[in-house]
Amino acid sequence: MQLHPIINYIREQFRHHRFFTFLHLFGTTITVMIATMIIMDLDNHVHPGGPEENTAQLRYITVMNLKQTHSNNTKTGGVTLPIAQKIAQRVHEVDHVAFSTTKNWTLPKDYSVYGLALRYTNSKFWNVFSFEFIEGNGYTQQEVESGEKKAVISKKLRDILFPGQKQVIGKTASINDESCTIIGVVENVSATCNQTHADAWLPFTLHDRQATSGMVNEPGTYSLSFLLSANSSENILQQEVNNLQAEINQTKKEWKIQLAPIGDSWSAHFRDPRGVGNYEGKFNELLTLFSRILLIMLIPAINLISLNITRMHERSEEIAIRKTYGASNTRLLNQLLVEQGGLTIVGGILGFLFAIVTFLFYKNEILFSTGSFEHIEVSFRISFLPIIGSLLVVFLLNIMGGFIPALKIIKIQPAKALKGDLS
Amino acid sequence: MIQLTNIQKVYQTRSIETLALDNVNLEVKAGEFISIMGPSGCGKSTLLNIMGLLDKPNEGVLKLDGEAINGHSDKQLARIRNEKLGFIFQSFHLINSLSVLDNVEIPLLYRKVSAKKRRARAKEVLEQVGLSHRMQHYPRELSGGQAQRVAIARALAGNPQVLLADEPTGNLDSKMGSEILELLHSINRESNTTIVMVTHDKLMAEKTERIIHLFDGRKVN
Repeated sequence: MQLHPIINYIREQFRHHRFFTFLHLFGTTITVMIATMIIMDLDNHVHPGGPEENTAQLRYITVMNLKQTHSNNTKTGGVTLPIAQKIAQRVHEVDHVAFSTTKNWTLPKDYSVYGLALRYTNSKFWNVFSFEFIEGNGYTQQEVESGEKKAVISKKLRDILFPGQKQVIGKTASINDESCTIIGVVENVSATCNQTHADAWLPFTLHDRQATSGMVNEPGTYSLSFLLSANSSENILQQEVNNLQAEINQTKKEWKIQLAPIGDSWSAHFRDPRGVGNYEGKFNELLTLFSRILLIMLIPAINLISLNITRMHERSEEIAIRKTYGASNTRLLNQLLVEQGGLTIVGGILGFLFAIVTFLFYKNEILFSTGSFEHIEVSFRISFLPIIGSLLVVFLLNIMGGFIPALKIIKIQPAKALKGDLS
Repeated sequence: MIQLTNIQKVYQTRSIETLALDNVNLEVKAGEFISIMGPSGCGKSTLLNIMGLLDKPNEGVLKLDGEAINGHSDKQLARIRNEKLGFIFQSFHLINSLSVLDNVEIPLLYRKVSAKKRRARAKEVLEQVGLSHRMQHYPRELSGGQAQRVAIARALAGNPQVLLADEPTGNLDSKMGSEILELLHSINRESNTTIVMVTHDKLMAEKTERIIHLFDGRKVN
């Protein structure tokens, strides 16, 4: 296939068929943009990077139900602190089990930024997740157990609390009305990192809601994170958790606990937050996602088909001439698809770029469906998934919007078409 | 070169059956320049389309260069058209989105010819028709006579054995028409190309070697 005529064709489209070209590009751009944004949104939640980079080894329990024995009453929430502690202490299949809970924190108004997030964790938290320490370290188990007022802060919080200072280890700061010693500074963590995001991390023993989270008939707020090693078996880990759950339930009379099955970042993202119901697996989630994208693409694709049929009819004379001079149907089909592909690729690139630009300006609204997180740290990354997804969307659009009209037009009889008869 | 035996062509719609060609027998020898005349709707263009493998007869046998054209696939017919036939139309049928040079290259696009050779051949035939100075222009920028010369150059680019011209002077004034006819004569003389021309113009037809008259789909004397 010669490149020169394709460039000529695209140039001709811009020169003489501006409206058609605009509609084609607009339709393709918007479709690819929406599809890319859906994929990027998913990708940034499922593969948020940062401390949760190691998605292959990380597993979570984020939901727990409390079911009343003699009725259908169910309460859903996070894991309670005593249960989280028990699992972290008693599970042997993995070396590191982290648990944490979050709390909003308001800085005094003399700071320019005041809405921030705190996270209370155990000491293994620093082993499970791969934080990038700028200086210092996380707190040890001993420091946690003794309730020492030590904190790890983000670079952003360091710049708020200690403007212009690069070394802050050993300094004290008032964090949530506690005077804490700073023992570590880490790179900022995006709010897309559901299990790690915060501006300051503190030992869970400093948490002021510690007492309430252990109530027998209320779910908690903690989530558990497990770091699988090369020799760990997820099934054995699940069995261990099941055994612990059964053991805990033996001691409970009125309210029985039901922990969500251990899941990866996909299930943590997709599982119905109101319950611990079955998770159907990554394949089904992908299938659902792509079904949604296909459904979104269906309307522009149908419009593109109809637009292209009209456009192809306009080109019937050209097709007839080419057939007259020896172009076979296959050759013509290839040519039309490549030309159509040229326009679709231009639309695809524009759609992809618009998606990135939209993410740059509206990442909070897109990733959290709200604009209220004005001070929250949100970063996004562009992985291969949205790039491949966009390519796939462009390819499918091309097939649906280009193949069907092309297949129709190449069947014309040149003798008739040259007389303007397209019946 | 072209042999038509008992060719019959019927166009059928839901309610009407039209006999376009009725038992037409015709032989065109290699290097001959013939014209086909007759009133509108007598089947001239249909006959030309059948000779050009753009349409299929309902009955009868068509032989082209000794090869019976029967049951050929779309791809085989496309190859024969590409290698052996050249077409010239009344309304030129140039592709507006392509330059003159690109238009002339079209028949060679469907052959295994390098881009360099295609360019060289297209330039050569454009020189032959006296339009080498218009190579980079677009069809919209040409006069009728120039457009028809480009169409002739395109027909010649593939070096065909047969040129099929459907009223090539029909959209031109008499001066331009005469120039185009003269060009066709020179092509016929110099490269011994067989030419079959459909025309309404008796004066033009009389300048060809033989005139075939059609009336109501039948060949008449």
